[in-house]
Amino acid sequence: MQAQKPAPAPAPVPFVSPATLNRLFSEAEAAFAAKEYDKAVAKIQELLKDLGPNKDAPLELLYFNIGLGYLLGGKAPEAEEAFTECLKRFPQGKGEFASRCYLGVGRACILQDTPEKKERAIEALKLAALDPRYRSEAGLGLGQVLLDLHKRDEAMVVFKSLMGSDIRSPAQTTAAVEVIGLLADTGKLEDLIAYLDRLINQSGVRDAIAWYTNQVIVHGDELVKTEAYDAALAIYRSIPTRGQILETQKVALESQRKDVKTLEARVAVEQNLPINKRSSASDYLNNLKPAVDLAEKALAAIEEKKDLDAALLMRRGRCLYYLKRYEEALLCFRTLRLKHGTAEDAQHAAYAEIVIMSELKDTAQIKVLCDAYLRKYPAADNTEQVATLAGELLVQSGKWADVGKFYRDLEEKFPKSANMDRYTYYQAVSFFYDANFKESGPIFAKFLKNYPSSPLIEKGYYFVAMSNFLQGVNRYKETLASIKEYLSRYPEGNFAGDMRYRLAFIDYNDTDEDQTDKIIRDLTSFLIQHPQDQSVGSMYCLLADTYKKKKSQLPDELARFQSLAIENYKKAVWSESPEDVVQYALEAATSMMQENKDWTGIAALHSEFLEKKPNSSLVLNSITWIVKTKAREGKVDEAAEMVANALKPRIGNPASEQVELLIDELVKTLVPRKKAKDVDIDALDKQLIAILNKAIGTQQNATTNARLYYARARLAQLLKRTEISDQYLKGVATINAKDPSVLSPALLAVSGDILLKDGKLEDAEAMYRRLSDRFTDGNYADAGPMGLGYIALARNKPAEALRIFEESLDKNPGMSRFKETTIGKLQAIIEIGDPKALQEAEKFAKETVGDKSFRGEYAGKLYLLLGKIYRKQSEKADGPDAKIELLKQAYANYQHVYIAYKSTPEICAEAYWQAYETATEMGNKTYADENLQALLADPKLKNTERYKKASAGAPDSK
Amino acid sequence: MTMIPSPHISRSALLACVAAALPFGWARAAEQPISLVLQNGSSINIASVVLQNGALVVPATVLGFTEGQIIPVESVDHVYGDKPAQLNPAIALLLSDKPADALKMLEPILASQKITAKFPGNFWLEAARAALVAYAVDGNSAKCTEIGKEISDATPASGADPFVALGRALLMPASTKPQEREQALRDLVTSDQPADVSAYAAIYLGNLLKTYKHNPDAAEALKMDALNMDAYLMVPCLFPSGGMVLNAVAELKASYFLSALGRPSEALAIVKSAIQHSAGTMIAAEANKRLESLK
Repeated sequence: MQAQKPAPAPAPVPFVSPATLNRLFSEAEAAFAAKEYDKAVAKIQELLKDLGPNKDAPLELLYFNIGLGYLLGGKAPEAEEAFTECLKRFPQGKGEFASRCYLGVGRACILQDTPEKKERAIEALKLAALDPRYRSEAGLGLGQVLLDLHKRDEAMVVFKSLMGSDIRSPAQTTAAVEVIGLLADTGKLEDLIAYLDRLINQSGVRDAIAWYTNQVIVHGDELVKTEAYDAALAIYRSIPTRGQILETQKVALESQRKDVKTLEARVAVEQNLPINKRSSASDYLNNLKPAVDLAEKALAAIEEKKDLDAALLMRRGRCLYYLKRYEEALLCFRTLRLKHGTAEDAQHAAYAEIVIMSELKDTAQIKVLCDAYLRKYPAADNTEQVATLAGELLVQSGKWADVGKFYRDLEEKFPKSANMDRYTYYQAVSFFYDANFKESGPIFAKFLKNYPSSPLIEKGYYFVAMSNFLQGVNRYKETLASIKEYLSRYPEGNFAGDMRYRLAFIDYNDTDEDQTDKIIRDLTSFLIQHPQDQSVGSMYCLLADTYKKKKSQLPDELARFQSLAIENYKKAVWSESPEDVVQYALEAATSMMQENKDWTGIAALHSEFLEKKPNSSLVLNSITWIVKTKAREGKVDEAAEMVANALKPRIGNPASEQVELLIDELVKTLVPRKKAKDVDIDALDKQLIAILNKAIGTQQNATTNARLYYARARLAQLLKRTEISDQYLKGVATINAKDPSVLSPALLAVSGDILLKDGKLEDAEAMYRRLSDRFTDGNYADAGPMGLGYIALARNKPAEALRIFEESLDKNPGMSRFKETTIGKLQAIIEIGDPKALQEAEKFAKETVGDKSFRGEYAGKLYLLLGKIYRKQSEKADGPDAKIELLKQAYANYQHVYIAYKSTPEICAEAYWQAYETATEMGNKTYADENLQALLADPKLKNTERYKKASAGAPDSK
Repeated sequence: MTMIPSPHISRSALLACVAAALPFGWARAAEQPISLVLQNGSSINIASVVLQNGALVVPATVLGFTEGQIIPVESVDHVYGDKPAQLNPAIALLLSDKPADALKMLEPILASQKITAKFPGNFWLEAARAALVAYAVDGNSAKCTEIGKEISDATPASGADPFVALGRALLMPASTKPQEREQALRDLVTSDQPADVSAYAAIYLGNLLKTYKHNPDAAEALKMDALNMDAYLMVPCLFPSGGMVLNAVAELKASYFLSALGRPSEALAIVKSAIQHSAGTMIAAEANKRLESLK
């Protein structure tokens, strides 16, 4: 081995004067400022050469800036190499610029855009991000690379971590704005909203609020272009009002300008000091100045954009419109139109409102809006379009008087319109539908004459014929002429079937001559040739009516006519016709078969109906017929099977309201006609379960389970096993309390009532709320509000309860829970205790108790409430005599109840209790004791709440 | 709107960034302690400073600061850290008609954040404004006035803070006619007011309208409901920058009107939005329940 040679002595570093070094430094700085990056790099390299291994020189800064020069000059590989070199010389933990070098390596690698470089970028950026100063920038780059590499979850971790960063410098603010875009792209709205909320309070954002606003609006607009309306809306919502932006920005600028002045003074003082003796004031200043310039420009832009608030309203409204959140969109557009009428977007907003109203089919509002639009923008390109839109909607709404007036106005406003045929046509149609044929006739005549090429012309001829037809026998000739006119022009037209039906109908009503054969011939021939005509249902019905009407002396022939009538009614039943036509045919056929005592035929027809039209509203009627006819034939099992078959397609669907009705029918079918005590309930229960399980099949779920228990409860109820029934229903309510969505309206109502009675207000509220939310149209439309009213009462919020009850009574008059709701309303008035309202309540209660629909239990409750009204009034009576008088009236009501309502134990017991309390209040202990003793002495009242309370010892009874 | 160019990497390359040396690692800690960030980039946890005669004093040595060191108030740049975890839930309670419960959560925040009240980015103001509303709703006039003054003193704008007017509107005596109360709130629901004032006022306006007697005339009742719903919808539609929780509460309240109007899909959409705006509060739980009901 050779001895190692000593290292050669380092080359002597030529002496360079500090002035030369300062000059080179300044030249490099100037080159950077002028964006002459190659020159800047060359100057730094020259400077490094001159400096040599000078320990006092800012070598790390210079090496770092070589990398930065390359990076900014677009030379990514060179930049990567230079930053790496700087890191080699000044590694992390030792070098001040290490984090920035990692950031530089990361950026340079991203620009090189190869899989290997992306991996290197990830490594470098992770290291850069360890430094809180560069966390935002490094995180942003890292997130972008990870997204590029489809590492979405990892990218999300990075973005989420960025949400906690302090945003202070302009670079951090810029990074934060980019993160908004990336978060929006990920679709994590909750994160985006939280991030936006946090950002707005950050120092860097406040300092550049005007610029920030501009940036995020642009981001929002880009999101709108990609139809990411949710994310765009979140962004638009996060932006403060223009006033707030201006105020915040001005305050920030004032403070920043002060800082600039201070820094400038300091830099001036340090100007002649050597580089390594200077403070970082120059750095601060160079940072701050461009930020202030930018903020000033952005502020000026916002100041110029006077209708920024309106522009944001338009943007929010547009997003909401596309998200089909119409009410919110309308509020945005309406506010823009009314409060920012001169803004650029005001006209668009006004038009958008009209478009939304047309989607909502709100004809009253659309008329108002269209009128306002036409008044305010008479020269707009779309005035006639706007006007016509409103007209079309009015037609759809069927408000014919309004339609006529509207189109008359249009005719006046746009006399040269290309749509004049429509204007004329709809004026005539409006009179037609108002049965004003005198007025419609001439307008139709004008229409037919002036617009023979109108696409509406066929309809015009049809309406003329119908106008004559509907005027009856007086226009017999005109009717025939106009129908023939239609048929000659349009023998295969859209209304040809209907026209022939009308002709046949005229013949059917001919009292002079028997036209039955002609009708049968005409209709049969038409039906053979046009089996798909939209009038076939009505035609089969008329054909059947004609056969039914036909007379014959020959019993066989008469029977044949009857049979043909039934056959044609059946054909009408199976036709694709409106429900009323089908119902007429079904009832007529059933009625004829009933006359013939053809129970098998009736059962077969209705079974087929269930099978073919399972979604018809007439299904329940068919079930009833099946059960009735099968029971008559003693085939209970068959009936049950048919009901089960009808249940099959709906039993798993909680929205089907018919299921519980079908179950009720099924249970009734199964219960034999003998005394309840003689029935083997267990056997019946098993049979019921078996039938329902067959219907449920493989679709078993929480809904079918609940319905199974409902059926068993109904069976127990019919067999007077109330305890079992209550237990099953309570089970349904309790098990499903946390997820009411599995329950049908009937079960929601039952469960709500049970839970309310048990004092489980929150669970009961969920049941009633679900009813109110989802079943506003069916038989249970008022069950939800009623329950919510009682919940409010239970929570001692009588005013809220009263409002709910009153609203429900107004919206759902005469619905299923009318009586309970009425009683609830009275209870709420009593609880509020307003003397005037109490007087009205007294009157109302007296009137209602006389209403026959409030018999039995409800009347009892009303008397109890009357008693309560008197007691409440007695609290504010004028003097002791008046008080006693009112208490006597209350007492009399209670007496009436416990005498007349013994069959309803809870009410009877309540009356005894109230009487006891009232007597106590009157100071009559004897009466009070008597009432309490009577309550305790009646064995029928043993299971009542009041009995239990009395036996536990009433306050004054001892 | 055109994009104003970004300042990103535009500054002179030879500059060093201002350091905001905050102690956290890459994986974000559960909650960032609230700190005062000084102009020189250093920061100090607010629990490590006390306010003595208008100056910030460090009572015991902590990293980078010595015992007894005085930090000039002018040297504080801003407040940094996570919003106090109880603040949003407290606002949710307040707007769910539980002002006393809300105050139980707000008062500790007010105490701990008082030192930051005058610095940008503080959370004291938001808590104090919520507390002012809570005191007003609770009828505590004295506390409402007191905190109103503190808020006005903490903000750079001259005169009383706009929340003071909101407090006055909410504190109107019980004998005040509802229509007068309504007008007082309506006066605050305008674009001239800060968005949070208008948002709070709009919610309480909605609550007030809800107590109005039901009008038996169907058309009038419908109009009343529309006005009531609009009061709530104004929050997310017209004053959405007033605060996340305010948006959520208003959206949830509006959802009941939407479903009564027979617009289940709109009700569902707005409830989903309420959930997104109310993470970690009781409103989120209520909105989730409602979502199930509407599905």
